[in-house]
Amino acid sequence: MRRKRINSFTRIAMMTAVLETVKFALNAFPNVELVTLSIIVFTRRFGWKETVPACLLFAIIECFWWGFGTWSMVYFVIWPFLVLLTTLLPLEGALPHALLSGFFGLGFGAFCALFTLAMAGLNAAIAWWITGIPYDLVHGIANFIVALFLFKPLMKAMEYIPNQ
Amino acid sequence: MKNQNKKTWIAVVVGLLVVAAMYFVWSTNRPATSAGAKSVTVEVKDSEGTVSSYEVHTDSEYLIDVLNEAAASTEFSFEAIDSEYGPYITAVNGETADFSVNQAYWAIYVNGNYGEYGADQQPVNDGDVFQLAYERS
Repeated sequence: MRRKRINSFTRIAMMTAVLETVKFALNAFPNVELVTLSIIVFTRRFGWKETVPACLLFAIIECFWWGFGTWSMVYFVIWPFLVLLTTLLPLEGALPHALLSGFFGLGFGAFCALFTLAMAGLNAAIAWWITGIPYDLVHGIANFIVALFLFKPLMKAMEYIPNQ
Repeated sequence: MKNQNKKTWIAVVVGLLVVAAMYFVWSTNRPATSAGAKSVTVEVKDSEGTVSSYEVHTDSEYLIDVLNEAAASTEFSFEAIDSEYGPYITAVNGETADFSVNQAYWAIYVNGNYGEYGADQQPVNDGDVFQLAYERS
């Protein structure tokens, strides 16, 4: 039991480290990221019980690094939401997961706009969403392409990490 | 399996339609700009509240290009990093605003009003006054 828990904590720490690493590695390319795909792969391999804590730790570290703001509240919700989506959708293969990743990228700005809606009203939320559409398009298309090519290799790589 | 494939390709088509719809919404709502010779003012309000002013004559359509022109032709200087939502101004005239240290940031005001767009999407019109103000939340 104790060993199982230690293994679980180790996987959560590993996932958090990977999320931070891929985030920093691609910081130079705005809206091209591997965080979405990593979370999808982690959820498929290790389940939501371990992936959600990793997402929350990732959000906390991002807050310490970049400071607390509206976007940090978004991070605490949007990544666990992705875990939930991945868990609930019975997808198999690279293309369906690439579509999930792509739709998630396209909807990222709209999701953030919900927070703007709560804080600044409908007009501000719509303006926020429309202003960010070019970035959402890049995000969605990049997510789709990245997942299409890397989903299978990453799932294969995850097999080297025991999930029990 | 065949049913799964069908759903996947429907999702592909829906995805393409969503991309097209988003582009349509953006292209019909994006802020209008005017090309041609324009005279604009770039102001910097530092952390002490001191305001410096720079006149720029430009053909640029967006603020980020005006800032680059001001940096090339006057004593104005700025630094920006690429963020998920466009350039994020980190330092102006050598003064850095670090949100992670003291919740400080460089705000953009357009003709006295808080800017609605990032520097790369803020339209430039003749006579505009852009102010970069050091602020803390």
